[in-house]
Parts: sequence; C-alpha cells; structure tokens
Amino acid sequence: MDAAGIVLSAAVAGLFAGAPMSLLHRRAGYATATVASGLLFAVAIVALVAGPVQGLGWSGPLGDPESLRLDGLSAFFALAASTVWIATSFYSLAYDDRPSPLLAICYSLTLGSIALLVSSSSLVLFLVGWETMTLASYGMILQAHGRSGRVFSASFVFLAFGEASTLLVFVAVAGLRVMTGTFAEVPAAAGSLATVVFVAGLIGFGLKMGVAPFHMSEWLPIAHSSAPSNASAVLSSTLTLAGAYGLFRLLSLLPSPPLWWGAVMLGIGAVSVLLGALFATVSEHTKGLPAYSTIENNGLILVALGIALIARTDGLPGLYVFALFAAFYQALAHAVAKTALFLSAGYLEHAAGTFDLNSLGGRTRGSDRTAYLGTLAATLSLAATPPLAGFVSEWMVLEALFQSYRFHPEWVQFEGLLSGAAVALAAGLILVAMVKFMGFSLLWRPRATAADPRAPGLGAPIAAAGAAIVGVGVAAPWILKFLTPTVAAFAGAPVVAPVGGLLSVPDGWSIVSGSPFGIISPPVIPIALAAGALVAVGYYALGRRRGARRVAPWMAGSVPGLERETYTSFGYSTGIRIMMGSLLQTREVRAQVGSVTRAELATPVSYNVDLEVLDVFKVFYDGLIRFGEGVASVLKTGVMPGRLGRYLAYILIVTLVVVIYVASAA
Amino acid sequence: MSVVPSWVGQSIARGILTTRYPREPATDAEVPATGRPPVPVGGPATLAAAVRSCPVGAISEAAIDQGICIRCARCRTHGLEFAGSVESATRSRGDLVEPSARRDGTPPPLASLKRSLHVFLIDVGSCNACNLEVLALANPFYDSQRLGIFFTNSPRHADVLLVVGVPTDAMVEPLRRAYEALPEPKAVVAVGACPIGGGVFAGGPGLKGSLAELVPVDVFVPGCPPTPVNVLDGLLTLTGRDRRPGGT
Repeated sequence: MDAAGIVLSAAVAGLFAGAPMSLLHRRAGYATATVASGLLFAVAIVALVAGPVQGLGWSGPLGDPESLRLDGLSAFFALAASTVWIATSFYSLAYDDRPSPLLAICYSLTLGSIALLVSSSSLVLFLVGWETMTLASYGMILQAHGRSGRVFSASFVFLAFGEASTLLVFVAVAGLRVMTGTFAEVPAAAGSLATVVFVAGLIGFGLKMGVAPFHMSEWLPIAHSSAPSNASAVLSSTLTLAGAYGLFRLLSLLPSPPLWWGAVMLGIGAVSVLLGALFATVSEHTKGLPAYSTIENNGLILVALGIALIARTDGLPGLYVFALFAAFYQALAHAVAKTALFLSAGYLEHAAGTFDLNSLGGRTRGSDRTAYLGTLAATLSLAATPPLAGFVSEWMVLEALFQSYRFHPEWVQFEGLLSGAAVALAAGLILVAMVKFMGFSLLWRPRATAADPRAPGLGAPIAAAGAAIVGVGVAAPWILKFLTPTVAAFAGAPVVAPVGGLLSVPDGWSIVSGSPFGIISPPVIPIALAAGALVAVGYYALGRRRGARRVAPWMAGSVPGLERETYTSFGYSTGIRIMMGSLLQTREVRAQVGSVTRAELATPVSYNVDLEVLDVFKVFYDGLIRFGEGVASVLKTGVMPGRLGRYLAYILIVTLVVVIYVASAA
Repeated sequence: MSVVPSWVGQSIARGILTTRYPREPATDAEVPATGRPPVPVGGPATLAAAVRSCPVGAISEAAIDQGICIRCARCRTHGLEFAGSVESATRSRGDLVEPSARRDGTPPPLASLKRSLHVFLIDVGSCNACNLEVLALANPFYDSQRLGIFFTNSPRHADVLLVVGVPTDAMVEPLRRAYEALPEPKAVVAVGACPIGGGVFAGGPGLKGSLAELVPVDVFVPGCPPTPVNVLDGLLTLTGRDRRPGGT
C-alpha cells in the first residue's frame, strides 16, 4: 500500500468517522466529511492520472480477498461523488441548525457507505456498502422538518424500494458468484445465468437511479417529505450515481451482451427521459422539480449506455466508445448541476420559508447574488445551454442517438429513432421546467414574506457548484481525455477520447463524434460569446454617447403592489398540462377560491379552477398496495382465526404427505 | 363543377368595398350622423335656447365644446344638427370649443413618419364603445393597414399612444409607463369625450379630469364614441396626411 492507498483508506474511514464526530457537535461531523471528501477527490484524480490505487486490504468472510481499490471506473465515480460532497458538506455547516445530531450522523454514514461501495474491490463489500447506504439515507429522509404522517409514509416508500433494490442486487451478485466461483471482480462468462444477473441488476440498480417505472422511489421521498436539502442533494446527485456505478460495474463484468439488453436499456431510458421532463415541467415544488429532472438525467445515462451496448453488439467500436463517454459525461454533468439546484432549494427554504414556486421570487440582490449565480448556472446547464456541462453531455447523447441509423436489424434503428424523438421532446420540455424554476424562484419579483431574510454561508457552496458546472462544460475536451482510463476500464481495452480539431480550432479543443459525424468545441463557445458581448457592449457604449434613453422594461403596465395579479408558476406550465393531458391524465377539480364574504355566501363559490395531474405509475403502485392489503386482510380474517380442529387437520395432512414423500423417496 | 371556387367570381363581381377615405371624402353611408359634430344651423344666436337641453354642459351661449359633447342629440330639437366636418380632430383643446379647424402653420407632430404609424391602444377606463370603434379600423372595410397604420402589442414598438376612456386612478401609473416606453418621436391621441374631458363620467370618484393632466396630448378626437373615420382622421393628422385643405 503506497501513499495514495493510505489516503484512500483515510478518506473512506474519515467519511465514516464523521458519524461519531457528529456526536461531539454536528459541525464537527460535517467538517470531517468536508475534509474526507477532499481527500477522496485528490486520490480519485491520482487514480485517473497514475493508474489504480490499492488501499487497505483484508481477507473476507468467505475467504476472498477484500480491499479498498480505485480502478479507472470507480475512480470516476469517486471523483464525481466527492466533488458533490465537498459542496454539500460545506453547505451543511451552515444549513443544518437542528438541535439533534441525527441528520449529521446519517449524512456521514451515507457518504461513507457510498465511498465504500464505490471503492470496494469485492462484491461482498459492495453489498455491505449498498445496504448501509440505503438504511442511512432512510435515516436522513426521516429528519425532515415537521414529522408528519407524510414524512413517515414517504420515507417508508423509499425504504421499501431501497430494500427491493438490495434484494435484486443480491440476486445479481449471487448469480455472478455462481458463474465465476468468486466474489472478486473477474469477467464472467456469458451464459443463460447472465440474463438473470442482467435483469436483476438492471431493476435493482434502476430502482436506485429512479428510472421509469420505478421513479417513485426517487421523487416521492424527496419532494413529499421535503427531506433536508443537504440530504436531497446527496440522494439525488450521489445515491443515483451509486446506482449508475453499480450498473456500469455489472455490465463491465458481463462481456458480449445480446442485442436486446441494449435495446431494453435504451427503451427504459427514453421513457424515463420523457416522463421525467414532463413531470418536472408541471411540478410546483422547489424540490419536486429537480427530483423529476433527476429521473430525466438518469434516463439519459441509460439511453447512452443502451446505445453503447447495441453498438458493441453491432460491431461499431467508434460509436461504442463515444456513447460510453457520453454516459460518463452525463453522470458527471448531472451530479454537479443537480447538487447546485438542491442546495438552492434549501437556500430558498431558509430564506423564504416555502417550497412553493408560486410564492417565491425576487432574490437577485445583495447576499442573494451568489446563490442566484450558482442557481443560474445549474438551471441553464440542466436545460442544456451552451457551453455548460449539461449542454456537452446532452449533445453527446443526441449525437450518439443520431448515429443509431447504423444499427441493424431495422427494429433497433426504429427504436433509436423513437428514443431520439423522445429525448429531443424532453430537452424542449426540460427547458420550460428550468426557466420556470429559475424565473419563479429567484427572478421575477419578491412575493413571499421572508422568514429569514439572510441565510449566511449558504450562497458560497451554490456558487462554487455553479463554477464547477461552467468548468465541466468549457473544459469538456480535456476532461474527456482525463476520463480515458474510466472508459478503458469499462470497455476492457485501450480507448481514445473523442477529441480533435477542425476548422482552425486547435487539435484537442473539440469533441468529435463519428469520423467525423458531428463536432463541437465547448471552449470556443465562450470565446465567441465574449466577442459577441464585446460588440454589443461597444455598440451600447456608442449608443449611450448619442443620448440613448433609459426606461424600465415594459411589463404590460403592471405596477408594484399588484403582485396577486401577476403570472404564476402554475400558469406558466398550464399549457403543458393541457397539451400533454393524455400523458399527464390532467383533470379539472373543483376548488374554492379566495375569501368569501358574507354576502357571497348566498351563492356557491366553487369553480373549476385547479388542474390535477396524475402519475400513472403511482396509480399502478397504489393498486398494487391495495391488492396486497386485500390479500392480507383475507388471510387475517379468513384463514388465521380458524378453528382448532382445522389447524389439527392441516398439521395431520402435512405430516402424512411428508411421511409418504420420505417413504417413497427411500 | 367549377375549378375556380365560387367566391372568386363573387368577390370580383362585388368589387372593392373598402372605403376610399381619405383619398375621397367620407360618404354619408360610411359615417353615421354622430360622426359629425353638432353645429347650430341657425347661427350662434340659436345656442342660447339649447343650453338647458345639454346634459353634460357642452353648450354655452357663445359656443359648443365639442370635446365634451356626447352626441346625445337632445339639442336637435333646439335648432342644432349633426352637420359639422367629419375631420373633427384638433391639435389643441381650444380648437374644440372654437370649431375653426384652424391651421396655425406648425408642422404635424409626427411629420417625420410620412408613410407608416404603429399604434398602441391603451384603455384607461372606457365603456368599451371607443375600443370597438378603434378596432374597427383593422377590419376589411376601413383597413387601416392600406394607410400604413398598424396596431402593436407593446408600446415599445409603437409611435402613437391611442388612449380611450376616462383615466382612472389605477391606470395612471400604467399609462405613465406606457408613455415612457414609447420610443421617440412619439405622440398621444385622445379618442372620445372621456379622455378629453371625462365624458359622462366627469367628476366621478377615482377618476382624473382629463388625459391632458397626465401626459401631453397631440391630437384630440371628439365623439362619444367617435366613428372609425374620425379616428382615422385623427391619426392622419399626426403626419399631415389628413383631408384638411391648405396644408398643415
């Protein structure tokens, strides 16, 4: 174990050590987590530059060697996760003002578990990390303000989905063990068992990524229980990242996948992307909206991964590698952007005391400005605006989808076509969602009465995450080169990053898909933007000299003091509610509006004023729950309180059957 | 069955129905009686008898204030008749009292915009009658676009603020903002008795007395409501393209 290995071991241990430190003081726990995340960040970079890092090792309970190890694949996820954690832990120092240290303890345990599962060399250790992660995050969600029945039921949904996920992952791991005879990571031979492993793994990890049709596991606990914001950020950015890591790791162990694996992933991904974007657009909750956007982004990862698998089977190595880069970049871009967005939701909660987009607004001045800039970067990035991180990743995914015309047989081409249309539609919808979040939470004009007008220390981490978003976007070609070991570790062969140069752009400054199919240069975009801005500023300066008049922007004559009469966030997306009514199951509900005076009481004052949307999958799960409860109730009232005679008869019959069976076998 | 749809032949047979105003004078068919201001047919001497018949006090023994006349026709039994000029718009409030249609030789307010005008209609508290008459300009009969007159959705794109209604307290600030938002050169047209002098609402609670108290008014179009031809004349007055003889 070299110096890097010691640092790795210290980082993982340090993240866990945040839990006991929190008992001293919750800030001590968060500070420990910040430092340990920094260590993990450093050692992940070392692993990507200088090759795998070997940490602490020991002999596992089943005789297999177990150790902390960062290879190319796990180093990437450790890098992305630790980037998020540095921001969230620092943010938590100022955010968490609860008297009890429970949130801090669960937070540290979650971080430590994710670090453990990402850096474990053995699948047993991975499972341990997976399960502690689920339990610790359940603990975090329970710490929501105002423990109502909703908090408990939403947390329970999370736990139920989490445990289902663990069970399926366990099946996948057991399958791998049967196939290879070991828990150590050696590529497994493909067989009929591989299908079981793949399906169990896809569902198990898909549950954690929150993709359709399991997306309730993602949005419900975050949005409905209004989990603490630092927890939301960790859940949405890195818990889903852990799911993605599991999927990547599993697929890297199963070589030569059949065509339908990729096709299934592509289909699930496309549906998730569309549903996530659609529900994000109609969400009025500062945490519900980002949570749905998480579903969309994880869908994009699945789409890219599906394209990669299909390309590998179809013998298109160039597209295979490009789609893999797209998948990893999507994971990275989403992690940083979503962190900033959730931290921003927490900031708004602190500053305005509400999660309702309809009653926020006007936070662009003074100490709000840092949070404002960070949120701006995050929303623009998630809306895929050049040159930010989300733009680069979405461009790469779409470029990969455009090349699905090379697939054969035709039905896969057709699937690529439909998925491309769904992803493109979602890209448009998510733009509406992000404009809505930014416009109605921070821009526009103040509507909420400030609960705590200043939330010190919360703005800086948001702005830092915003800077990371800009960096990941602009420096994309170099980061892609930096990720080469990750893709090589997944593909099991040396790869070349899809960067190049064209049209007098220096070599290595552009991202190239195909040979070349499409090309884009993220570093040149800000240069071009700056040049354009220079022209505009120059023109403006000249215009000023000629005596331009400065007037307030025309806002349909609206004046301060008429806030109630302004456009609402709900109104902004109602067009989508109506247009997409068949998907959203939109229906009008009668609701009473406004205050009623005595004179008006003579006539009923209910109007069709509210539009409700319905998640079809939630309806399905609700039906499933009702069915389960029905069966349980029949068992409880019809079978369990039976007569003693019937029990005795039952025991007698079973005994006879067993005796006959044993006798005949002998 | 004909290849050419039947409406083609019908349209050609019917000919052009769009008014030829202002190239030709407005016909009686185009302008109802109330489109012409009331004048004493028997000379100013007959005014004294009609003073008491006027519900808004527009008639005095010396003159008729066309600005606040609401065209109710009660004075017709006392020797007044809707017989004035269709080109009733004036560039000063005073000209509405002394019905001289006088030209004082100053250039029109928007003389630099010879060929086209973009108009933003703002309702600061009207009964909707003027709105209907103004919007009739956009229909195929008056077809203001043939004269380069277009209605915009934002004052930022407009040359002219066309104001209808009595200025209510709540609309004072939006009106000021709209006026501010107009790019230079700009002009304001007060359409109807309400913005000129309060109309039938004059003196009511929550109302301003006239538009001229709030923003500088360039052209006054009297009437209650003025007909589309009156409004068209008012807009053309801004650029000097109206039918008045003798130049501007």
